[in-house]
Amino acid sequence: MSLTAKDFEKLALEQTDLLYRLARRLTHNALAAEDLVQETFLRAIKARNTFRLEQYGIKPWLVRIMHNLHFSRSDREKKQPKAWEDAALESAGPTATISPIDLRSFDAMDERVVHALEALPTEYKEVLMLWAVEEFSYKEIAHALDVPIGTVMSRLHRARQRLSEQLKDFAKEEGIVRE
Amino acid sequence: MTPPDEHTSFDDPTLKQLCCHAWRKDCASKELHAKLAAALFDESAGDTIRPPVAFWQRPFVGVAAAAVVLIVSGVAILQYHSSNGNVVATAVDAQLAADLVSRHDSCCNGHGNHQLPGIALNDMNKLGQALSTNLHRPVLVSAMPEMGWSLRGGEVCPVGKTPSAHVIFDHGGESVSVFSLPRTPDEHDGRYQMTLNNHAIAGFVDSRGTFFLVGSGEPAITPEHLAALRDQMQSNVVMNADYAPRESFAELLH
Repeated sequence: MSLTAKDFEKLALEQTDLLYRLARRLTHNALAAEDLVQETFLRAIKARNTFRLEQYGIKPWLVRIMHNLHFSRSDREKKQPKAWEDAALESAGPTATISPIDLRSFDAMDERVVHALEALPTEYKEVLMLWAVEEFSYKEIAHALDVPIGTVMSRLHRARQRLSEQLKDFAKEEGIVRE
Repeated sequence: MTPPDEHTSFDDPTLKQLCCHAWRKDCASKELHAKLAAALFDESAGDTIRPPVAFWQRPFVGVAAAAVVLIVSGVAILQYHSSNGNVVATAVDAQLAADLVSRHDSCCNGHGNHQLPGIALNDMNKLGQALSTNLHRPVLVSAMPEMGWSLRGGEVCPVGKTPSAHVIFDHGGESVSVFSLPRTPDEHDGRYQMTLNNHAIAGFVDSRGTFFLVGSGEPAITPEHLAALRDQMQSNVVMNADYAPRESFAELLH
């Protein structure tokens, strides 16, 4: 089913916050995230006639545009492959450094979790955010990111493992878990 | 070590909660919203000034006509069933609808006052925070958008087997229940509306959960009236402020 311009406009604008959240995970920077969202909308407007509502809805379609846009930009900028293999992701170090923080309060614990999440490889964060915050199904994530469902699930598992490893020492220090 | 079932299932509410807590608060600025709306508006305006094409020259006009016939037939069949089977429309799961009405009737017909200890009846904000903290998820708690309604109270009540925030409002002999449930994987974003045993039901589903209003059966609240109330209340879903990172954190490490 093809949408009128007005329906498309309404549907697309409802996804602004989703796209911004995803852009923040991809770019690590508020300004770059806003740029990416705007460019995603421009692409979406141009490609509007190819959008079909009945397939998966507009969310995965917009996410796919943003994902492709971001990784093709990265390709150009870094001359790296479009998407890393999971093995490469596993061996890669954190993408952001965990800065020193006061570990004595719940707020610090919160901060620590946020930092650990942000330090995950981009591909893991992308899957985690779509699954946890935006409540995408595995199928929708797979469709949006153009990867098999198995990859979606293994990225979720590995993201969790990675988080757990990063937070383990802190948890021991704080007495949250027994040694 | 790779988990044995990593390709078949992944259910981790703690991880979900942590991610939501860390990331959900990121929202686009008002300026960005405005820029995007303007960009899309320009595009729509462009559409409206294109020269119109005669109706019969448009592609797929035959298909559209056939679709109209099918839709009209579908609506007629639906209305026939509704007049005979008492259930009007749609995508609300039948069991869920029955559970909502049953809980509404049970609670509204005088069983318990639905007042949480230590929370004043006029303190909507505190009631919302308390229910959300209790359930660890967002709840729809808001004053009625129309004059004349009074809050009877709010409590955690089971809908079927699922604990739900249940807020009750009265207006003369009429009553309205507002339920907040976790979303299931089968539910799709959108608005829902139906009537069951003379009770109007109107709800919506989004990334925050599944929220339903149920109107009293006698005197009956019309589905249109209930849907209007839902539409005005929809933006008032609240998240618990009392987040417990320590417990979530510990669970994540197991």
